[in-house]
Amino acid sequence: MIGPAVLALLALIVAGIVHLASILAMPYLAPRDGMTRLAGLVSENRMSLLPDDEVRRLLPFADPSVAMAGCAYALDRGPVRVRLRTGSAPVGLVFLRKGAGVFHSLSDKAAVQGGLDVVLATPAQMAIIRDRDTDDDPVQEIRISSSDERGLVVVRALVPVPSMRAEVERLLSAASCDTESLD
Amino acid sequence: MLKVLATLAALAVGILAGLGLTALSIDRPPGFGAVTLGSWQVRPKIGTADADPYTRALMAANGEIPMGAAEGLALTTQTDSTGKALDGRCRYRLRGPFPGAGIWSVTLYWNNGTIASRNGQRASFTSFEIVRREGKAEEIVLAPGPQPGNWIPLTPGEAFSVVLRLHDLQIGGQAGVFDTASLPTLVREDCP
Repeated sequence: MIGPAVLALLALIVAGIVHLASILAMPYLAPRDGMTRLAGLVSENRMSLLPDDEVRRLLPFADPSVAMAGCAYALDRGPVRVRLRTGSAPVGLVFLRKGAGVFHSLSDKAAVQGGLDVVLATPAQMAIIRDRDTDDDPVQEIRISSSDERGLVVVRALVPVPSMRAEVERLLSAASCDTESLD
Repeated sequence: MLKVLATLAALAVGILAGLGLTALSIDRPPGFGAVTLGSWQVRPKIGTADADPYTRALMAANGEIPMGAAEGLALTTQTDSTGKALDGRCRYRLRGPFPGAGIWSVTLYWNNGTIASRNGQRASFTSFEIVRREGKAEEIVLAPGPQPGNWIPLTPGEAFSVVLRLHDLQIGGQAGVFDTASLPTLVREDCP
């Protein structure tokens, strides 16, 4: 005989498991996460300026005081190098992977000689890159390891006053996101 | 037969309750990973790989791309300094100090996350845009009718939230470094 107490306990345990499992699965299963929302505006291994009005339409709590650029990276053909010039206003980069959300971020404070030079690679590619390092040639680039081959880089630059938007957008338009061969 | 039915019913109740709890924790996020500073809420680890599962689920479900920890930090409030919900008919004064290196922006949003711009008018200020008065703390006035100084128009009858973004702050996901006294306060001045 199964008593009501046992049934209640069963329901409680199942509720707990289902709740935890669905919270953990949400980042993988959410149909309209940030990456998916921007998917139509970005290209693979190419940096594009994201139109301001589209970003505001697609992203909740979009920041009206930034200009944005984005690049969907794919590491299947080799590491991806992201380069941009920094100006006087704050610039930040966020790196997203499906399921992980923002897994890394950088700001212009990490810039060397007025520019950011970032290499994204899988752990296996990263091992090859490190093997080729020599002591004579100090590493200038910032290296970020991505455990998935695919992800998204978003560049956000503050537009201090609206009249500077065109200038900030020019800076972002000059940013690049290119595959590099390891051969 | 009855036993099987009762067990199935208990399983169904469990599954529904579990999913319901998940829906509830997206709709009304629990406090895990959030820090309250005065009337401001902040999720310090939101833009890092160490975000807690609830923060991560919330971001994915809402479709936001939060500020990365290296980019800065966003603080949100749905209430004034006394804890009353923000009301578009009232007049509020957001008064400094503003923490960090001093590069910030303040933006108003409707509750669905769209920018709370009344007929295309201003819904935000950056620290570069505001007019400062000598010897006085930086301040922004939120009100339905025109105000002298830095004014953001409110829409009567609409609930809204205020987001303060600190753009030049690298705290590595530790909001504990803030002192509530270093943050601006949102004071309700008058209400019809």
